[in-house]
Order: sequence, then C-alpha cells, then structure tokens
Amino acid sequence: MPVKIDSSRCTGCKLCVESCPEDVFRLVPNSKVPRVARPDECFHCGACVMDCPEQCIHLILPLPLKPRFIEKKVFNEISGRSPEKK
Amino acid sequence: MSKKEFKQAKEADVLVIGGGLGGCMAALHAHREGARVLVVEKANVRRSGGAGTGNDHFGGIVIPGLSQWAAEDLVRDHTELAFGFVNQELVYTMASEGFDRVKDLEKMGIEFYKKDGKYYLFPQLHKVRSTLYMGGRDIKPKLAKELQRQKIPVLNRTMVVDLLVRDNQVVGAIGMNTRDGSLTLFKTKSVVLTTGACFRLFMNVTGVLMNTYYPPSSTGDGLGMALRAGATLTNMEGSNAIRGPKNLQRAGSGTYWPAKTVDAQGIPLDYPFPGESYYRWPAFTAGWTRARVQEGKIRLPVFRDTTSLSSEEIEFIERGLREEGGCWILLEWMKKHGKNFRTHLMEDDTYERRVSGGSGLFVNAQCQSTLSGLFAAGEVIAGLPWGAGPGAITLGWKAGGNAALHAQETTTLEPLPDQVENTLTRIKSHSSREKDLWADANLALQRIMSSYMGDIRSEEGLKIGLYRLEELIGEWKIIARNPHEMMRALEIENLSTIAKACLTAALERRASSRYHLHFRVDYPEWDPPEWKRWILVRQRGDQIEVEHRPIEYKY
Repeated sequence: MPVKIDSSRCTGCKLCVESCPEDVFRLVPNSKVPRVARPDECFHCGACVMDCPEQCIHLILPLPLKPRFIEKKVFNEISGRSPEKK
Repeated sequence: MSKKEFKQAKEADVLVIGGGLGGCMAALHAHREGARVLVVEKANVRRSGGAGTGNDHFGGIVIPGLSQWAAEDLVRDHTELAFGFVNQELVYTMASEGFDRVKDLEKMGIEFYKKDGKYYLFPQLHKVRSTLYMGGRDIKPKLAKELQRQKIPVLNRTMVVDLLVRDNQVVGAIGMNTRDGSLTLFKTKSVVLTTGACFRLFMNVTGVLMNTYYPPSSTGDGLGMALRAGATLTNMEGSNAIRGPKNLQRAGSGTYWPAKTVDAQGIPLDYPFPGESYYRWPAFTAGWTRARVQEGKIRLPVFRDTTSLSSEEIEFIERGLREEGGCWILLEWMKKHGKNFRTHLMEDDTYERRVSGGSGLFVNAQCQSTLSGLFAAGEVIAGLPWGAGPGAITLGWKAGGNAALHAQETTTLEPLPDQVENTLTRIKSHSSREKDLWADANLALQRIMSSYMGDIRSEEGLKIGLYRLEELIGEWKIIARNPHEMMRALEIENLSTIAKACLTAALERRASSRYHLHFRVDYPEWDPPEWKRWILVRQRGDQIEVEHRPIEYKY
C-alpha cells in the first residue's frame, strides 16, 4: 500500500478523498476511514498527507521508487575522485 | 439528440476546461470581465494539475527597477535556447506581465522570497537572474479558495470528453463525472483549454506506469479533444525529457541550481554552454547526454553534488524542495534514512519524454487557437517552452480575458446532434463486456512510442510506428467496469490520438533537430536552417493533414 491511514486517529473528514488527484481513495459503507482502493494509481504526490488535518496519513515509497544517494566517501572511492578536490 | 442521456445541461460564457494554475487564472480574469464562468476539472481544483502539491519558483520575468534585462532581452535569450522554436509574443507576455501576476498571487496569500527587503531573483533559465522564489506549497488550495470567494462555479471530478464545434466555432462540450458516470452537456460562447501536459505516452524509465512528476492523469486530454475538433497543433515531433532524482520522479530541476552535476568519475559536466546557468542543461538531456556518453566524455550515472556547498546554498535547495510539488517527500525520506546534502550525492536519471513545454495547440499572441472561441494556455499550448507555472499563470490570465471579450461578441449556438451522438457512441464503446485493461492498453501504446519514436528515428521506423498504432487501435477493446475505468479508457484514447499526430509530425520533419530531441538517422545533419519552421498538424476525419509555416520573429 502506498498510503497508510492511522484508523485510530482518522476522524472521517474525507478531505483526502476530495484532494487526491488520481482518486485513489474510496469511501466504504459503515466505516469513517477511507479505503485505499486503487493503490497502483498513486503517484506519491503527498496531497493527502499535506491536507490531512489530523496528520494521520503516511506515504510509503515502494522499492522501485526509492531515491538513491551515495556517501561522499564511497563516491570518491568508486569514482577515483580525490577527496580534496572540490 | 437523446436528451435523456444527459443528467444536466449547463450554460456559460466562458467554459474553462482544466482547473490547474492556468485554468484558475483564466477563470478569475474572465469573471472580472463580467463573463459567466464555469470551471470543469477532472480531479479537484484544490490539488489538481502540475502544481497541485506546490511550485517553488516563478521564472522568466522582468521586475522593473530590479532586473538586469528588459523583456525583449529575455525573449531573445529564450529564442536562442529553443533554437528559434518559440512564439515570441507569448514569451514576451510572460516576461512583461509576470510581475503583475506575482502581485495578484501575493494578494491571495502566496509569499515571494525577499532578501534585504527586495525581491530575490536567482538564475534559472536565462543568462541573467529572472526567477523568483515562491512559497507555493499551497498555491492550489489558495487559488481554489479565491474561486470560491468570488463565487465562480467549479465542477470537480468531471472529465471533458469532447468539444462541440459548429462552423469552426466552439459551441460546447460534453463532460463525464468520473465517480457516478453522469453526463453533462455544456453550451458556451468560448472555451479556455488548460488541460496541461501530456504524460504516459512514452514508457516510464522506472518501469512503474504511474510514476510521473506531474499527475499521471495529465494525459493531454485537451490535445486529444482539440485534434478531434479540428484545431491545429504544432511541434508534435518534439518532446521534453527532464532530469531529476533517480526513481522518485520529481520536477523542479532548477531548484538544485547551486549544486554541481558530476558524472560517475566525479568530473563536473561540461554544459552545452560552458559557464552558463544550470537550467540550460535539461533541454538537451536525452540527445546530448547520449552523444557525450558514446564519445566517452561522460560516464553514467550522473549525480548532483551538493557536498561542497555552503550552508546557505543547501538551505536554499531545501527550502525550494519544501515548496515544490511533492519534493518534501524526498526531504522526509532523506531525514528518515540518514541521507544529507552535506554528506551525500544524489543520483540522477533522465526521465522519459513528455509532450509539452512547447508542443501542443497552435495559438496566436492572444492565446486563440485556429478555432473561433477556443483559447488555451499553460502546458497545452505550443511556442512557450519551459513556461511551466509562470507560463500557465500569465497566459491563463490572458486567455481568460480574451475568452470573455470573445463571448461578448458571440451568441450561444445549439450543438449539432450528430456530433453529440458520435461522442456518446465513443463512450458506450467501452463497457464491462470488453477485455483489455486500460493499463495494458497504455503499456502497449507506450511500447510503440518508445520503440519507433525514441532517440533514433527514421522514415521507415516512423511508418512502421504508424502501422503498429493503427493495428493496436484496431484490436484493443478497453474495458470500463465503472466510471473511473471509463475515465482511464478515454485517457488512453486521447493518448492514441496524440500519438498519431506525433508520429506524423516526426515523419514530416526530415531533418534532425536538437530542440525537438528529434534525431533522424536518415537526415543526420543537426538543425539545417531551412528547417527552422513550424510543422502544423490537424485531423480531418481519420487523416492527419500537415502544413509548413515560417516562424515569425518580432524581437
């Protein structure tokens, strides 16, 4: 799931359902917490997280979307760049 | 026409299709001119469009008394950057009216960064400083609030399926609610098309279909409907490929401007224009990088090296990332995983192509298309590359004002029943009885575009591409089990309509063009001067007609 709603804190205001540009959420009968009905259509824009008044939505980046960083020390070793050189 | 098919009919003087930055500004201006305005938005204006979750910079503008250059100078620089493929009058509007729009946005509570009491300009696109820093994280909720305050009606979750045209004049549109499937018939005197860029046409470099840096629902719907309505498009052989963080696709490449870009050997990249500003780079990424890699001058991958920057410069980058669409997610992720701009280099990638930022609807200086009453602004229009947010805001405002003036001189016309019937038939062709999933249809289409219209093109390859496209359109039966899937199916249809225009234009440009990222192996000479001209395309029935036109330069 790209998005997780903390159901203990969700008040059911539905702002995430309204904000989502891809309409990923769906309201379900007898539940105040929206369901992440179309997880494959989430593009991790974070609109739901930004708009949630309870701050109870969390984004989870799936493996292929994880940004990639490299420590300067490791980069210098691999690249053969001298560490003094700026 | 079967009236019972429609849940409702709505009338307006100015119908704004697409409620992003450009659409909101168009609506505000048309409303101020006294027009009855209606905004139709596929998602929700609160967070829709390319700036839905923010925009941190506002570039390409002149601030009187502060800028080093006049608007004319910016226009000339922009023209040079784009190898001449610009509509100079649109660029001039952005440069000269941009600051007026900044003041409009300030009134809505959007803050622009100042240093020592003066607006802070930084270099991005141009040789001189012409970009303002903006606290634009909530620019969309603020614009949505302004529409509400001025009582401008908005119809959210409504996808416009087709424009309705009579005697070359736009008279209406058909919209579909993406949640309940109900249809609306719009009658209008003029339309402002602000549907944004076209994504999901080429295969995603990460292999994840919806991992795009603008909303994946930006499928160039406006271009699809404009082609079906008979409007003229240009630069469709061209596409834009930007560079950004590896894997998590994000725009805002200019936000990192103080950073050095280095290759895998740690060698700072030699930009196409040495010593000039950072932003000159993205325009060349796909073609230029490939050539440099093959010559052995660059070894991939490429990194953004921030490790030798000053604290002030790093704060500058981080502040920008907090305001630019979805980039705060990158910052949060870094914090959580112990990555830091002081100690780590960020790996970059060149993303797949998108059609926008210079390609699209052919409009004049007044933002009017070749159809009477059809105005457009933002990423859907041609001739304003790298306009992005400021382009949408300044020209959206202009298009809205002109659409309102047009409406004053026009009477409402009844749409033609046959046209309405055609659209209804098209919608009904997708049902739960069909077999192909929209995502599969999308991938099959992307496979064609990336195979035959990629980095190396030829007459034969493009012709086979067109053949494969017709074959695919003939065989797919896209399933729609609910209104949401219907929206996706209609998006794929728009993409296939655009694909045909792109392949046809690429076939017609028998020359290689750096601006268009268009390398024809059968015409390998770059940018022969006789090819500095527009290739116009328009759809007539099932055929795409092509026309060449000289580019006019005023500045």
